[in-house]
Amino acid sequence: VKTRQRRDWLDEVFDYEASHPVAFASPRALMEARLIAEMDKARGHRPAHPRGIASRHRRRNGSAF
Amino acid sequence: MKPFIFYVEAAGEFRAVELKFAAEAEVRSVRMWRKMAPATDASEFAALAAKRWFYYTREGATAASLDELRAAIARNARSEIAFLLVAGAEWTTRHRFLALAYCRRTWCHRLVLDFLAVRPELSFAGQPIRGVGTGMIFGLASLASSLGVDVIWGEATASSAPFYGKVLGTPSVKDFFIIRQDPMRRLRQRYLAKLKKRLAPSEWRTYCS
Repeated sequence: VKTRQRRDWLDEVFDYEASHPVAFASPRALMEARLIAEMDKARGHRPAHPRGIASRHRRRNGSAF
Repeated sequence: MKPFIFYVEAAGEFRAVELKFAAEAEVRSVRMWRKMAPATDASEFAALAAKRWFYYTREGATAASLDELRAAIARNARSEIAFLLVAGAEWTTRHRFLALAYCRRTWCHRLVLDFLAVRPELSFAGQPIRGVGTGMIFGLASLASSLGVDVIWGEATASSAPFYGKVLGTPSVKDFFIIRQDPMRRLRQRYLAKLKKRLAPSEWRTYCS
């Protein structure tokens, strides 16, 4: 009679990890992170204070604010 | 405070890895995974998790240490705080960090796991490093226990559900997983029992001390 030896739980999980990369994201977290990345990108293209405006404003009014 | 340690298999031995809270320098470091070629899901998730961490840090809603997290909870028991955990070890000279987990502490004192990524192609002495993902879940359960958190949950996908199912010993994981107090304790006990069998007695004593 053949007896099947029960595999060790830790070995089984380690083997599974070895053949299935652990790189998981919750779909909602992923969507939010991508949205943040897009917002950052958009902010990068359209700065809050376009170059030159602050210095012109400062020259005219003697103040940066 | 005792560090959160788990063990991985590297070059035929079980070696210790420390799980710690990431501060800005550590977050910048894992963000650099995106420079890996070829691009992988892990590198994309690391970059996005870092992006999210910086966004919430600007809002004052992250913790860069366990003390910071405890202090934030003490100030406001209903605060929602995000944090990034990174796993690293001194013996892994080629890789500063082996894995990351982006988590949130919710208003009702539960932990949510949003991102879990193990750096691909990890090796030591020419052999793959095994068991990092499992160790991360064990480490997260240990952190939850030290915080008195009784539930860890997260969304699962077609690719992550089998992993969570195997680690938790519940093949029924579908599109979310929930680890309550008893399964969390069982997971830790099971992991520690296996560890005890594999570590040298002196190392086991050091681990327990």
